[in-house]
Amino acid sequence: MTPHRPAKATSGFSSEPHELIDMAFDAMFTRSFDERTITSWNRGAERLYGWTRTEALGKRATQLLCSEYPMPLEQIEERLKASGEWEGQVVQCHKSGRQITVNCRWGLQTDSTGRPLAILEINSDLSLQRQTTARLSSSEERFGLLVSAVLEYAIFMLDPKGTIVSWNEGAQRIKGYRADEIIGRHFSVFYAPEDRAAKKPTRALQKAERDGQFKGEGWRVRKDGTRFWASVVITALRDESGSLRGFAKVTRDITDRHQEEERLRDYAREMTELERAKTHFLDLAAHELRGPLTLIRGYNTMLEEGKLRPERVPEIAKMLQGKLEQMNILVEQMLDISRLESDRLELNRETVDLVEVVEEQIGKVRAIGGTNHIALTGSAGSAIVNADRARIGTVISNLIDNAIKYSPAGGEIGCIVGRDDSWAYVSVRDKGLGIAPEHIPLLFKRYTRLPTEANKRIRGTGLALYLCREIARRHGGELTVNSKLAKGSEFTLKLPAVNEPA
Amino acid sequence: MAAGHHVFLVDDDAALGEMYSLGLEAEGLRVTVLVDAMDLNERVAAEDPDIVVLDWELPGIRGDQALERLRRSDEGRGIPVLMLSNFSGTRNGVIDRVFASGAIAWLEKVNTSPSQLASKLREVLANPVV
Repeated sequence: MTPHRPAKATSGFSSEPHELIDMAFDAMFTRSFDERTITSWNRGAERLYGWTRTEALGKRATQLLCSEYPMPLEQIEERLKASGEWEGQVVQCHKSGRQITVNCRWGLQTDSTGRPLAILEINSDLSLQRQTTARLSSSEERFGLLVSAVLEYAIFMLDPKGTIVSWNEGAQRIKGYRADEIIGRHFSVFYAPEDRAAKKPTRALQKAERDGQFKGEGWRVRKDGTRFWASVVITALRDESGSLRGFAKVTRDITDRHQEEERLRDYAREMTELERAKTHFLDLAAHELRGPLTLIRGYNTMLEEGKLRPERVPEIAKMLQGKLEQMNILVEQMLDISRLESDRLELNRETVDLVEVVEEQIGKVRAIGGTNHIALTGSAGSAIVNADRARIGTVISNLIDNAIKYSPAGGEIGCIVGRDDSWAYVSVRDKGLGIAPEHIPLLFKRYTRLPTEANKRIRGTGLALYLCREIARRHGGELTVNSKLAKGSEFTLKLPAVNEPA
Repeated sequence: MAAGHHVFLVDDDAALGEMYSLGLEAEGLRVTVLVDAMDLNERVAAEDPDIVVLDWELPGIRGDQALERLRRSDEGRGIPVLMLSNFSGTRNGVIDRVFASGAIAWLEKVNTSPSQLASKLREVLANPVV
């Protein structure tokens, strides 16, 4: 409530207080300036002092209320005359003799010449406020108990320099220190050495001091040296005058969430990379199909126009057959990839002798022609597996095709079929370009071709080896490679062997 | 009819080189197939062809680079050059560059039959303004 301005009235307040004034909670009364006798008295005054209006009117206020002023009354009255108002605390007595501390706000009433007429006293009971303060502090105490029992959050206080001054259960649980071990130490002990060196603790406090709050996430170190990913809020605590009293720090262990986010980020990166590789693959595949398409279209036009000499036709037809086969292989590979990615790749298993499959594939390659010498250079006689004959044929055909692509014209290519304990295997060996050790991990990645100079000219889409390995694995087997740059490569398909019927 | 005109066809794909050369020869042109453009300048100087058909993707030196090199030589400065390629990567800049170097056309193999190539060559040879 603002102090009353002195009213420029000629008469004093009425001894019968206005209804509104009577309703006021505070004690309100007027007394004459010269005699200090009470001239009006409201309900609030009756409540505060215990005196009825009848008892109070005409009494000297100072005596009735046995007031003890913080300064001589004359001085207070001088101030009243000078400024028209005064505020201060006065110890007074209730009718019962009980002492009460009262907050006084006084206003001076003057006549038209400025001569003091009366004083309006508005007094409120400070003891009530004190009780409220006491209630408040017990609620703070309860809040403190609550904080100390919180387990999910480390909640503690720092002094303005960052020294730990309080500690809760959650802090002990999350950081591993007991209160007696950590209070008095600087909070930078929770930071990793590299973050301490980078002055992160200091900068966090500076930010909190400047902006009121610091929020961040980062690795923190427990007492046992293990790390956890923390979400941290540091709030600057200031007193009424605005000076920094310290900081409240709330830390949460969000390692699980952080790891989950990391996993999702990795996954997103992987998917982005795959998407990019797929786009690149589409380019390569389109290019791969365009070569044979150009030939088929071109020769078809020449046939239509009668520009092809009949004696050339058988040779060209055979060449085109090879190109069609090449296109068919790519299309089949694309279908297989699609089946693999949607988990629809079915295996039609039967008893298969790998020796037969290899001989069949070598025969096919020889039929197309070419300059490479391909031979079955070693054989166990038979190597029986329970497998999808067509798909295993595709794997071996791809391995031979690769050996041809990455060997010089006329280079030797050897196939070996064998048994090794419970495994049957086929190795395809060439004396070609070989693979650099750093490229081996990329070899079986889908849609990925090795980033080599030679690969700019050698046709390929980055599907075959991925497919071959997947087919091997779905048979319970494996496809491995052994290679030396500029010496050659050996790819080995291993499948679980079936014992031959006696 | 540009009978007897000598065509240099630079293509590293043997099957395509053979198809186009069969087609062009059926149209009365004389064709020399080069599998790369490494010694294109020297071959042009030695054999003096009437026109060059260049692939873009070639081993060693790319078609556009071969064209620029050809344009810097005395023998190759004025010879008509057509690009014939199935190059399907990004074309940003590449095609502009070959035209800036004086290529007469950029033909896509898949859309160019041997007889279409022959008529394009005859058209260029009949109007020798580069």
